[in-house]
Amino acid sequence: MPEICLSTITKNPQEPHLGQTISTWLFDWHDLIYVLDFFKANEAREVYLSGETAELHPDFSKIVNYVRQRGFLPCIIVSGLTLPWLQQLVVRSSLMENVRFICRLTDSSPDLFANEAFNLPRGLAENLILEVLIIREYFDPTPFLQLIRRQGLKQELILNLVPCNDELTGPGLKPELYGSLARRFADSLDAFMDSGIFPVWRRGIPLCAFTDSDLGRVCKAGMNHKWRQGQDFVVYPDLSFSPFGVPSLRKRLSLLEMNSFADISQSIGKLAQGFLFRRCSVCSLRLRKLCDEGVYLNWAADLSPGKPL
Amino acid sequence: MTRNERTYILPPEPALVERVPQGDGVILEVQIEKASLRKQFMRLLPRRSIGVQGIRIHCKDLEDFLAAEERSFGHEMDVSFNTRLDIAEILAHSAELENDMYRFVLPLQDAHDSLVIKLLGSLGIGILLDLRDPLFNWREAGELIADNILNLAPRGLLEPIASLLHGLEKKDYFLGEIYHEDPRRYAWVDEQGRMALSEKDRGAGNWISARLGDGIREEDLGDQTIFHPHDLLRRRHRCAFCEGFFLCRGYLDAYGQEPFCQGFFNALFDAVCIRGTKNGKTGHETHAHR
Repeated sequence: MPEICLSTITKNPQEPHLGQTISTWLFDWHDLIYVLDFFKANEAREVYLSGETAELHPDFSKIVNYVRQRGFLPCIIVSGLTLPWLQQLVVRSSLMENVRFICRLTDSSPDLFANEAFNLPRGLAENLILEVLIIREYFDPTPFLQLIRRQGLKQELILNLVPCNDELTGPGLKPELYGSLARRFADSLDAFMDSGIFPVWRRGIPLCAFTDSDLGRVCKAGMNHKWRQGQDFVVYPDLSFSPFGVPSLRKRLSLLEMNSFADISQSIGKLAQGFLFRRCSVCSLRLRKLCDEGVYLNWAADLSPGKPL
Repeated sequence: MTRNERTYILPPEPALVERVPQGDGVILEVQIEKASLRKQFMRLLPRRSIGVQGIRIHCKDLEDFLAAEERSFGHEMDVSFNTRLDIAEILAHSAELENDMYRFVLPLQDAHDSLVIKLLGSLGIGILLDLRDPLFNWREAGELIADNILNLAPRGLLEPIASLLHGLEKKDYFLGEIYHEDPRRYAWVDEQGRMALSEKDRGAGNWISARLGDGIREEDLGDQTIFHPHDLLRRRHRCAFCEGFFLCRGYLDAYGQEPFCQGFFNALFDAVCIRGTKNGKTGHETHAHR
């Protein structure tokens, strides 16, 4: 799914974790028209909108309106922290019609949204889907399923595995823990079935991490677990793009060099060849095009900034 | 050109319309103020079957235009505004604006205008650029040409670029036609029935001797017209060496736009060449050169 990151921030390279922003880059209207032309020509139906700044973009309401008028379904991605801002915005404007909201939460951090006292306006809640960034192997969907029911959110839970490796200091799941997560997921199927809420994987668990028995349970439950990814990339204000928004790949690919989504897939595919897990490179599941998850996870995990191709 | 192919641009006054020679056409010029459009127009329709070829509507702003209770009469309409359009206003009303029967006549003076034009175009709304505007921004126009010709998704018709491209194939095209300023075909009439051969002449009170209903003689077309293509050729004027001369014939020089307009025609021909060689796949290349 194509995603437009409407604003990016640059932090002090000496102290990247202090949160001090030294510059902000906003998506330009001319570029937005061009990017939507590109998506239109490639018959995209939904456009994800996100941003690295608290209010995503100063012209945010106008942009959402424009994306809608161009015939796309705007899907607005917010975090638990930007949700109150969005809440105020939708009350002020007619933003709730023909729009979908996706709220990204991590599986561990308690935030404002999870607070029982926090209630979303009805119109917003009906169009809001939760996306959980999974950074722990003992992921438990139960609190999120309860949250969906309590707030009357859309009956869908997007799961997004955040990978990590030994070199990376940030949060994430190491490859050796994917098996544990696969088991947890299979164990949690009953909770999904009971609640009637459907899990959808955005960046999923590699097929090889499942045992045959767990995989059988997933298939029997009728879960739509796709192991092959589509066009999932993020376009930034400088018109660079990266698969899944992997930061270190950003400057290597530019939308201006692409003519179609097929070109993008091809470019991503070429890059992917350089980033295979060792076991993925000889894996028959990958060679038979049954699973690409390992490749994408390895990208996201293995590419610390500045690491050569 | 025979007399009965002439079109008169005039205010919607029944007395004036009555004087239009039988068989000729009219383009009605309407100033609308809050929903008065229909009233003004309907006063005319019962009087006689007039050959209405179009309507020129002047509005204060977009809100004024949208407030009109009726905005379509089955005739092509050119809509101009006294104020600049605002992006938020356009997006708020874009669903109401979708209509094949009218196009907006917009200024192009800076990057804001360019963005408004692109936005409207991307929403499928037709636009006519006023190349005669003394403040017309030719640099932005060059970019709009590339954007319009090489874009990846369908756009509303952007005139006069679309007509000029068509004119490249037709060979007998004249740019002034789109502004109803071909002296062989159009006459501009004021409230008193006096006639001029261009909007500019009418504004300056540069009248021809004939009045509405008299018909226009060949000698009226002489010194009263705003441009003289044959004279430009004879004098070896710079226009005569411009790539776009066979489309423009010095029309833009009459509005003081030469030599800036030459770059516009160069950009037009360049974009056509790029489209021809790259088979329309290079919108990104053009965008990259912004």
